[in-house]
Amino acid sequence: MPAINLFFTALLFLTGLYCMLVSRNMLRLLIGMEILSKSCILAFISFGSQIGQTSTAQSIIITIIVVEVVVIGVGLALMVKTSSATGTIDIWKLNKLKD
Amino acid sequence: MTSHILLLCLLLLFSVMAVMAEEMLMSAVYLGAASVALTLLLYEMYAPWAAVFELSVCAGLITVLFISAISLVRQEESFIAEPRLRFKLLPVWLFMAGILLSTFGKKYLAAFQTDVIPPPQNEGVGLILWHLRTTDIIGQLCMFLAGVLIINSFFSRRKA
Repeated sequence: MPAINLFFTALLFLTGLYCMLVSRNMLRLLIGMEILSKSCILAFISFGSQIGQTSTAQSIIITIIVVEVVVIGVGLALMVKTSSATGTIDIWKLNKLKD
Repeated sequence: MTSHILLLCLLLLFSVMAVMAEEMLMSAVYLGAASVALTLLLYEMYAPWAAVFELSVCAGLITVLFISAISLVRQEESFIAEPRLRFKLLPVWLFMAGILLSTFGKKYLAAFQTDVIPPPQNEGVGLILWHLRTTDIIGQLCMFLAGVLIINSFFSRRKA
């Protein structure tokens, strides 16, 4: 079973990475990061269950989720602030940070 | 085993749909659905605590945060003229990556062909989190404080 988990982990990781590489929308970047973290969670639990250390994997997953929610919260706050300041959430137009 | 593969497929499907959806609101909803699929997977793999956290925080709180942020950003601000073909090509790339992975990564993936071992009954997540990984708790608290301070500095009211 962990082999199929790792197969899907790799595909999920590619999906998140592709989303972050291709998109210029700030919100979509955060969605890509969320998908990346989901793939990490899946990898942690599959390795943890394979070696019989599910509880340790769970405690690490809880830490990952806490870090993830803080990063997403800060990212969304940055996005709302940027959209009210510049009128767009396109990352290509964020080239006037020095002004 | 069948339900496990079905849940994995649902997780991947909802994630791909979250990336491909044209409307941001639908992306957030699909991401929440992917979190629910991951929750069921975690529960099936003997990880109920992680499943509860995933369901309440990722499927609940983060979806609400995303929807709130989308409603705060005006429609014309969130519209970016991106070529949609890039996103429509994602399933093709994934299919090719899947074929490549199953062809060339077969011998590496075969090393993980063991069944899930259920955890021993006396081993608690709380015990590990509070006694063995105490630094993680301190790190989590620091992250929370840093997040609160950053968001507070973004939306602070200037004195006249």
